[in-house]
Amino acid sequence: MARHFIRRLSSEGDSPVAEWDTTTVTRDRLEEIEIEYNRLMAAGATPADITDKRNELKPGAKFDPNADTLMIPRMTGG
Amino acid sequence: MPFPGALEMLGHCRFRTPVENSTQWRAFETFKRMASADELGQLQHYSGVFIKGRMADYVVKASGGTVVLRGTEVIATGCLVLTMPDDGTYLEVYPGLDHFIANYLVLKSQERYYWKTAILSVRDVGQGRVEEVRRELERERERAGSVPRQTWAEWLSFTLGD
Repeated sequence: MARHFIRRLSSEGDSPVAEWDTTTVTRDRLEEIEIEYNRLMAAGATPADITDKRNELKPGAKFDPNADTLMIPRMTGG
Repeated sequence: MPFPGALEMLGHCRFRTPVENSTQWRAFETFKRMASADELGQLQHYSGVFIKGRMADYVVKASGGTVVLRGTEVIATGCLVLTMPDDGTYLEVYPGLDHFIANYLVLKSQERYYWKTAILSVRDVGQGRVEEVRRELERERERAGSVPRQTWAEWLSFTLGD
C-alpha cells in the first residue's frame, strides 16, 4: 500500500484536496485529482513535495501521483 | 546548528500548542509531518526554527516573520506572506503557522526566491551585509548568464527598509 495526498494551506490552516492509494486508484480518479491540482496551480499556488520530509518547493512542477504534495498559495512581500 | 543565542534572540515568546481542531492546530499537524525532531523541538521551545542558508542564516518565527543573520549579526528582518486565498476571503484569515510553513519551505529550498520576493527591513548594522548578499547574487547570476541583466535588475527590486 502506498498512500499519498494533496493538501493545501488555507484559511482552515490545512485542508485536504485529495488522497489516494497508488496501488488501487483508478486512472479516472487520478485524472480528476490532476485537474484539481492544475486548478490550484492556475490560481497561483506552488506545490511543495513533502514526501519523507523532502520539503522542497517545486514551482511549475507537474502532478506527481507518487508524492505527498502541499500546495502553497501565492506569496508576496508583506 | 544555530550559533548559541540565535534562537534566544526571539525573546521569551513561548510557543503555545494550538487548541485541537483549531486552524492553528491543523497547520501545526502539517508542520509535524515535515519537520525533523530537532526543528519541532526548536519551534516548541523558542517559537521559531533556525535555517542555515547559502546566502545567510535565518530564524523563521512561528508568527511568520523572519530574522536574517550573517554570522552572528542580525542584518535584517524579512516578511513574506501568503496572499488572498482563491475563495475570496482576506489575507488575515490564514493562521500564523501557515505563513510560518510557507517561509520555512521557501528558505529550505528556494532561498533565492526569498531574496527576490520578501520585504526586508534592514538594520543599520546590516546594510553593508545585505548589499554584500545582493552583490553575491548578482555575480552568481552573471556567471549563470541565463537571464538578461535587465531582468536580473528587476529580480533584485525587493524593498529595503528605510
